[in-house]
Amino acid sequence: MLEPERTSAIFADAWELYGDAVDLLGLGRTRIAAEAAWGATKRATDALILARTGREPMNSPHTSRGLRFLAKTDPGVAPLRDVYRARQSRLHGRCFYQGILEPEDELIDEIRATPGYIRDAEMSAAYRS
Amino acid sequence: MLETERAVALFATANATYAQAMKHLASAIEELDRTELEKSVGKTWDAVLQATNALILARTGVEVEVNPLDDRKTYVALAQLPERDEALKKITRSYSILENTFFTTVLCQKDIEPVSLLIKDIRATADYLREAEALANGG
Repeated sequence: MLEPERTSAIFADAWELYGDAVDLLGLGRTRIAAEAAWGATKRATDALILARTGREPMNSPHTSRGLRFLAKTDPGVAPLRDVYRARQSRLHGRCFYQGILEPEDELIDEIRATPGYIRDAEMSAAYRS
Repeated sequence: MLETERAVALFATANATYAQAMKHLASAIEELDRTELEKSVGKTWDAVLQATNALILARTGVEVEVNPLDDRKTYVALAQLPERDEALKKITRSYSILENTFFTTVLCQKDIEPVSLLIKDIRATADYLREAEALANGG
């Protein structure tokens, strides 16, 4: 698959995972919904990194590192990096791994904020400094 | 010691710890020394925990034990502080960002790259300490 097609496919995967998160929220499965929302965040970041560097991250540490290097050279990516770090800690670490859901209203707000992150990553992927 | 005095003492400890972090950072930059940089990160993370626990004590009267290797009690206490206005939500989010950067990425995964960004993150932590102190004082 060519790089632009692959990028689009990964962004589509991110949107699908967000759809899963919404479905799971509807079923009251907040903890798993948070993990799907985190997955959507990670996939959108993978797509961004692929679009901007030509390399797809192999695992989560590579995604985090790739985003840091992008943020270093492009100040426009810095806000995305902040959101990514907060979401990795809150959705993935605290909620999914440690089972800490409270305060649940703030957790649900974070899950529902996922489309904003995906859209910002899509816009950043289209922009080359 | 009264709770307020204890919280003030904890903030003083946090600031002193952060001063140590900055000394290690200066050595790391001067000598291009990775060990010194990791020490600086360790001290910065300690200072974040101390300041956060001071904020929790000031707001609730409950002192949480500082544990740099397992901060769950600090995080839960911070995330459950009563009267969660936008300022409290913001500092909880900032705490999560610092935890992800210093604890998860550097201390657990041993990833310090790119070094220039990490140095920036260490220096920017001064803002978090000031913010926690202002919130403890009702700001």
